[in-house]
Amino acid sequence: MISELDLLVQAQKLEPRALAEIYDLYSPRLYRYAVRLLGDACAAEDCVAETFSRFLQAVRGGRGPRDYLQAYLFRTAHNFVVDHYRHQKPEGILNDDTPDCENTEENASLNIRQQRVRFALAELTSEQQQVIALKFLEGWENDEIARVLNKPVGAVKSLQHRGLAHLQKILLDEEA
Amino acid sequence: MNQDDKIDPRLAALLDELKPASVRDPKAAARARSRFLTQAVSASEEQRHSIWTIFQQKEKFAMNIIMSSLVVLGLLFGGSATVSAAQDDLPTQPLYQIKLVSEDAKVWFESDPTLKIEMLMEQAQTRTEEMAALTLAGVTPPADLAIRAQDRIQQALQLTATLDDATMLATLERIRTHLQTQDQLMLQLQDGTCTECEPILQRTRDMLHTQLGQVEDSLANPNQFRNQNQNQVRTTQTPLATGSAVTPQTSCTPALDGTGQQNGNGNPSAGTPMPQDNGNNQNNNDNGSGNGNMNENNNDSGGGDGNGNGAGDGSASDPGGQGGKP
Repeated sequence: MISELDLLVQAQKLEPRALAEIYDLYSPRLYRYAVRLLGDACAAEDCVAETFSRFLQAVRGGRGPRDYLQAYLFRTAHNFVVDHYRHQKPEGILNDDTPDCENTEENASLNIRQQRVRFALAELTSEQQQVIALKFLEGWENDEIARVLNKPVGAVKSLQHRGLAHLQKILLDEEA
Repeated sequence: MNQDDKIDPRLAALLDELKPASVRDPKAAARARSRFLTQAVSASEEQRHSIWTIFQQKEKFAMNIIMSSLVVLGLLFGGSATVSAAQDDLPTQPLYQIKLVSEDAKVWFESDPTLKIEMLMEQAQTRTEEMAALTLAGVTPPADLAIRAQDRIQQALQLTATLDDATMLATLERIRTHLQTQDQLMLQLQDGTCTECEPILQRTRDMLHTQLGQVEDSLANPNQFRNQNQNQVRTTQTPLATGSAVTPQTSCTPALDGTGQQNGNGNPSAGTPMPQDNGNNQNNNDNGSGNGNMNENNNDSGGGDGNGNGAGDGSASDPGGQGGKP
């Protein structure tokens, strides 16, 4: 199996096969990440398309990632997510991506809870959002997240601590 | 997770509710992949062209000839800017003919066989990219795009047989990669985006598979490949077809038969040529000499219909800035 670094080297030469392999490897994960944070299948598809488009543009311009491809792609995808929330008012973002389910009432309730968490996440700083999302939704380790943020692991822990505290304040104290 | 990752269970439960992401629509995913691949292949093509341009600068003599001919062509067709502007045109667009003529001219004046082969394969790939762009725009690609692609591949293979052993094998490998890339692109397009396009896409894939099979055989048995092709070159004395201005060749094989199979390498069985959209393109003589070469002495097509020009959605913005708070 070809390593991420080898793929990246070939991608920098704009080898179509390497680019296709990168797409196949990361596109499902980026989609899952985006749809969790955006709650909208169309927006998530846009996010994936935009991420890879930016990646291709960067590689063409010699500005692509030199290492840690995964970190680069998730960072780019997260920028899209942040921009998405920045340009849309919360009431404008309604989840119409309701999964098929017999119990629509329960489904709607889940939908509302999910949106509440998404809006709460959107209240955090971009870096806090990334740490919380990558850690608790995607299950990444601190060192992997540190590469995305270009920060030391200690800073990641600190961001996580502050992010969780803020999230707790929004979601749990609100309930209380 | 370690001690640092301790989280209030209620908060954890809320976050967990985001985890079951909905299943991705396979059609949307395939379309997105297809668009990206088209962008990627285009980017790759552009880069290769620029590499070739650098080489031109080194080969001053060849460059002078090429540039002179392009200037003449440019003047003929209304200025060099026109030639340049034509390079991104699709078969449905007015400058497409100029693009084809300039491609022919490039091949005609290239003296290095290795570069000529690379150029031919790039042009074959350009044809499949054009098919992709039209398909994505919902326009059925004209059949002669596939025929042109096949013609270029066959010319490349014939030239490859004239190279020394090591170069021949390396070139065959590159041709195989080209063909696989094109096949992959065609496969991605068969995702139901354009149902009317399916037959031509499938026939193109069949053609690519036939050529791939030929390349695989050649890699397994290089001597046989060399002998077959050199015999063909001797018997046909084939100048490289330049589309608009070549003498008719004495031997050719239909592009594709109804099942997408090619009559190559001594199989004189007749096949039905791929349907033409304008019918003025080919002097394909199905004469049964079976050299596996589709000679296209055409007047160029300009066929096609509609106004399709979709070539993916590649937005070109730089990575967005790190967003602050929404």
